[in-house]
This record gives sequence, structure tokens and C-alpha cells, in this order.
Amino acid sequence: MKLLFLPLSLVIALVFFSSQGTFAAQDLAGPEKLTLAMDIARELRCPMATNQSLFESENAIASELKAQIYLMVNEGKNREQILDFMTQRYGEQIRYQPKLGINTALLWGAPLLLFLGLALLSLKLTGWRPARMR
Amino acid sequence: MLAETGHFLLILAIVVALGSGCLMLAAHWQPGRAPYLERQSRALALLGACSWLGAMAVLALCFITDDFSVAYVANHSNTALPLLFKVAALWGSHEGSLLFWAALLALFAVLFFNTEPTLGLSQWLLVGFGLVILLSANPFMRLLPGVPPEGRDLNPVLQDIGLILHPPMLFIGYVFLCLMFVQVMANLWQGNTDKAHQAGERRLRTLTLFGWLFLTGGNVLGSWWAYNELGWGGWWFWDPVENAAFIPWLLTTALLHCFVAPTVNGKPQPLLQSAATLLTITAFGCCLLGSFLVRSGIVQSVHAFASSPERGISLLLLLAGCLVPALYLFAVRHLKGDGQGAPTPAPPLLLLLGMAVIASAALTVLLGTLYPLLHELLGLGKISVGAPYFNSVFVPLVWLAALAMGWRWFASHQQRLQAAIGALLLPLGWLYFNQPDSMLYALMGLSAACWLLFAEVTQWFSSNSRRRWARLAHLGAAISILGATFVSQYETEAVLRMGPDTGKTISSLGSDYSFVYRETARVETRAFHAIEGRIELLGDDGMRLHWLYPQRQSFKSNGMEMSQAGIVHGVWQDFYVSMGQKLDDNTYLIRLSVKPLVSWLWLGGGLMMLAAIASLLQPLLRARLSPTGQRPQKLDDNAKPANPATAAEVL
Repeated sequence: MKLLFLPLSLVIALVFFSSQGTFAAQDLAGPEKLTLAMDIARELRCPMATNQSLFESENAIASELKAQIYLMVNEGKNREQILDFMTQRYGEQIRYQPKLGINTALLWGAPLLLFLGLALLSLKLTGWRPARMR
Repeated sequence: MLAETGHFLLILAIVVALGSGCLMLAAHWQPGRAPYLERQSRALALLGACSWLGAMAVLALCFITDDFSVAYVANHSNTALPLLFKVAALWGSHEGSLLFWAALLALFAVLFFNTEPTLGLSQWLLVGFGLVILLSANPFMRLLPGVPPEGRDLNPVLQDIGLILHPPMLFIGYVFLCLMFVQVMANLWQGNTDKAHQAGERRLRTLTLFGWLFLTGGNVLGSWWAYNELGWGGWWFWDPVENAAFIPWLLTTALLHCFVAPTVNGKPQPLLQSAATLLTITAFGCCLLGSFLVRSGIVQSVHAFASSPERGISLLLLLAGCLVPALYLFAVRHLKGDGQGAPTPAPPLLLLLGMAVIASAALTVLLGTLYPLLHELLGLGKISVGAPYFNSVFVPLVWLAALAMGWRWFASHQQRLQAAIGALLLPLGWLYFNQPDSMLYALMGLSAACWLLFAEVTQWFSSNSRRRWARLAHLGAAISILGATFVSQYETEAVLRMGPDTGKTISSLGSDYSFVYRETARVETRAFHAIEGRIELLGDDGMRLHWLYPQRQSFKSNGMEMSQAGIVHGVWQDFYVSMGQKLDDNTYLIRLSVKPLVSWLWLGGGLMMLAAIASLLQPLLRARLSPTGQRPQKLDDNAKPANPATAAEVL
């Protein structure tokens, strides 16, 4: 496997960097687009590596997907469109920030619920009351 | 023969711990013979500690003598490894690290506990650890008869000074968590009325400070190591392994604040006592749970250097064996019977709210780590929960925590209002001129840091400034928050192809820095050969600031490729260059970045550690300095000055 990936990644990198001539990461129109592409790469999980984002991973597939993100950003796609595209292709697992849904409601609600619960408990245990009711 | 000796010592240690634990129980049920039995129990515990340390020494000896018939040595060492790493490889993986953990626990238990039932309870915990090691993670297993002529290498990522510093620090932190748990169990066992109980509470405070000190150190060093070594320039990735160390730290931080409130008639407030008990149990539970998650390979981690599914279950059993009796005793002692007696004054609400914030942060991180697992178990499919999620929930919680942290130091509401306005306007002014990545996060981070700094500054001018070391720790937190905010909001970077005599200018917070790739060199070392880029860093005016030497290393023993970043550390920013794949004959994919204030993160961590050390030393210093040589407070009656345990108690 590893042997296969090395030439593959080289090919992809070469395609990405030379055959497209004018296109390389630094050629993206404007620093905003570059930052956007990097941010998106940070939000997606590399399908090959164990728990690394696309941005960090050096796997062949990660290079390919990063190139894909750069291309899509250059085409004028926005963040949501690119994330949706990637999710469609690689499943929900590729997103490091899961979408809010019924299945992730607990995940997103937990911090607030925990804090409110513990805060109310603290108020109750200390016998605190608003000034007017005292 | 050597390995069998180690194996024997391991078994001996477990048997002796069992004996010592049983003697403790016998002493409890036969009070008449208690002094005699307790003496015996202590002698056995000492013998046990010697066997644990002996077993560890034997394993180290196996590493030093390259005994590849021992599977653990063959898998994690080879003849070419430097001596220091051979010794450090001892805790480089699952089996050895558990042995290291248990041996330190045995040693520290004897040092810190000189009375029952703490000593006996620690022996029971050691029996649990010993059984886990013996049955599922025995480091003395032989590879017979097919002894390999050469061992596999230690994972190249681990061959770094970080391996020598970070894991021992973290494991000592875990050991203190175990001791804290034992102390809490002893307190629960003895009930609420005993005189010994008060000494127990005091000792819990000392142990918590120690534990917090080492956990802080472990987390700070871990983050520093990842930043320098893993080659992706991140300092915190919210990886399960990181979370496994971070959750206990958060809980211990909350726990530490249980000891802040003034005592009532020399007794701690019952409410805080219950909170401390529950937090200790949770922190200890999370530490074992984290080890289980990480070691079983049940969650995917980038730092998992030691995982296999069957190991997990034994740790899970140990966890259950500890938590069930602990929670049962907690329910019996704290949830019942607290109502009667004179009503005690409640602890400050602010303190509880602050602890609530930290505890919710810890539990949120725990939930986020476990969530993909639960999601999949329920058949809902695979999801990932990573850095973007954790950042978006953690930043507001840190903001709330900072609000609570600073609140107390201001003398009046008027001061608070002024500080709040300042802590909003100052960051807003700065943000107006320096566009951050995310306005909201930046404002939260900066205002939190400003609020804490203002709180500190008002104390300089206040006549009755109190709690120097707590303030130092809070200052450390402010500095860490500032560092984290700056590096995540104002990092500028570029990923590009570079070869000899190409360059790139990056501007960071108003200054321009030019990176010029000068040449590519080959580097040969004992362990790897590497390609090294030599990159010159030029400042605004074209003057050379530094040289940077990123490397791409190929390890000789196992062919693994690693990227070693070239970093120049500075007070105001770090320059970070890492070298990616080779693109053609002489160009490489290079990542350049300027990271403002990143070193403040660890500086803040260092201040927190300093504060912990200072508050541990303070009572000793005060005792030394007071003219009569008398200790400031009367400590428990049977304190013997020569004993290290009592020295710890003075703290």
C-alpha cells in the first residue's frame, strides 16, 4: 500500500503544481481565498490518516482533496458548498464539526445544559435568592 | 533469567499488596490488635514498593542489555538506540507505562501515607493495577523460541527529549490522582466525625496541589512536544489522547478551588467537602476512562503509540471496581444525614459558579470525545467530533471561567464596571486595526485576558492584596489565553513549492518577513538520513534575522518518514517552517508560518506550575522563617517530624 501511495502522491502533487501551470496554492486570487481553503482543509478529516485533518495529513488522498478544495474555492464555491460536496463524497465522518441535527442535538446542547444545570444547583445549594424576594 | 526475576517480582508485589490490604482490613475489624497489624501492613507495603521498583529496574535492565527475547523490549528498542532512549522506552508503550505508573504509585503511597486506612486502601488499588498488568499487559512476556536477532525500533516520533520529560510528568500526575482517590476513599470510610478526618482533608489539599502541578506540567509539555515534534505546527488538536490528559486537569483545577474557601471553626464547609469528594472521584474515573479509551484503540488517535482492543477491558474492569464502591460510599456519607446539625454558612456562590464552569467544560470535552463512539454504537453511523466543535464550545466556557476568575479580585462593583468597559474597549480598538480570523473568538479571548490582567493590576495598588500564588496562577491563565487567542487568530502562513533561491514574503501584524530558500542539504545521523532545507529569514529591512532548518527524515530502522519542523522561538512570535513532499528534482512543498505569541501559551503554563510549587513550599518557608521556629498552625497530634509523610502534611 505504502509503495503505491508514494508515486501516486507524487503524480498528484505534480499534476497539482505543474501541469496546471498557473495554478498553485499561492496563485489563488487573494489571501482571503487561500485562508478560506486552509480553514476548510482544517475542518475536514483525512480519510486515510488516524485523526488528522486534511491540512495536516500528508497522505496522497489528502493532497488530492486539498487540491480539490483549492479548485472549488477558485471556482467561487463557498464554504458550505464545499463541505457539502465532501460530505456527500466521503460521508458525515469527514466533518470535524458535525452538523446540528437530531442525532447531534445532545452534543451541541450539552455545554449549555451542563452549565445551566450546575449553576442552578449551585444557586439552590447556597440558598441564593434574587434581592427582591429576600 | 532476568525477565523471570522481573516477572517474579511483579507477582510478589501483587501478593504483598494483597497481604497488606488484608492486614488493614483486619486492623479495622480488630481494633485491639490494630497497632500490631498496622505495623505489619506498613512493613508489607514497604516490601511491595521495593518489589514494584525492582520489577521496573529489571525491565530497564532488559532494555539496557538488549534482551530481545522479551517481547516488549524487542518491539520497542534496538541495539542502535541511545542508552537514554532505551531507558525511556520503558514507558514508551502500554505495558511498560502501566508498570511505571504502578511502581510510582507504590512508592508514593509509602512516602505520603503513614496511617491506616489510606495505606491499606492504596494497596488494594495496587492489587487492581497489578492484576491488570499481570493478566493483560505483562511486559515480561518472552518471545520463545524465536528470539529475534534485532529489535524493532522505538517509534521515531518518540525519539525525542519529550519522551524523557512528558510521560513521567503525566504519569506522576496520574499517580497523584490515584493517591487523591485513595485519600477520599479513606475519608469516606472513616466518616465525617473523626478527628483524623480533618488531617485527611488537609492531606487531600496537598495531594491535589501536587497532582495539579504534575498534570499541568504533563499537559504543557505534551502540547510543547506536539508543537515541536509532530510537524504540523499545531499545539492542541483535541485528540482523544490529549483530552484524556486534559479532562483530569480541568477537574483537578475545579477541585483545587474547593480548598480556597475559608474554613468554619477549623472545619471545611460540608458542601465544598462533598464537591471535593465527587470531583476527586470523577477526576480519577476520567483518568482511568481516558487510559481505557486510548489504550484499547476504541477511539482513533494520532498519538496512539500503544493500543490493542483486549487491553481495554481489564482497565474498564478496574474502573468499575474503583468507582462502584466509591460512589456507593459517597451516596451513603454525603447524600444522607447532612441535613441535621446547625446550619452552616454556604460557600461563596461565585466560587461554586466558577467550579461549575470548569466542570461543565471537562464534561463537555468528555462527551465530545465519547460522542462518535456512542453515535456508532446506537447504529446512527460514523461521525467525527474534532477541533472546530471543541473550539466553538470551549471558548465561551473559558470566557465565563475568566469572568468568574477575575470577579473576586475587584474591590467594588464600580471597579468591575470600569474593568469590564476597559476589557471590551481595548480589544475592540485593537481588533479594529488588526482583522482577526474570527471576530467573535478574538473578542472573547482578548476580553477574557484583559479582564484577568486588570484584576491582577488592581491588586498591585490595593493595600490588602491576598493570595499571591492563586493570583500568579490566574495570571498564568490570562497569559495562556492571550497566547492561544493570538496564535489562532493572527497566524499567517503560506503553503508553496520552494527550491533553491526562491522566496516568499509573509506579513504578520504589520511586519514583513521574507523566507528565502537557499539550498538543500543532506544530513546523516545514526538513526536517520534527512533532506534539510536551509531557509534564511529576512526582516523588514532586508537584514537576516535567523536561519531555519526544516528536515525530512527517513528512519533507517523502519523506513518511516517524518517531517521535523524548523522553528525559531521568540517572545513575540515563532517562525515555523516544515518541509513536505518532494515535488520535483529540487523543489519541495514548504509550509511557512509566523505564529504570534505562541510561546506565551507555555509561559502561562509555566507560571501556573510555579504558583503550585510556591504554594506547596509556602508553609515550609513560613515555618523556617518564623522566629520561634514554630509551625504556624497546629497539625495532627501524632505527627513525627522525621517522617516524609508528615513533611507532606505540613503543606
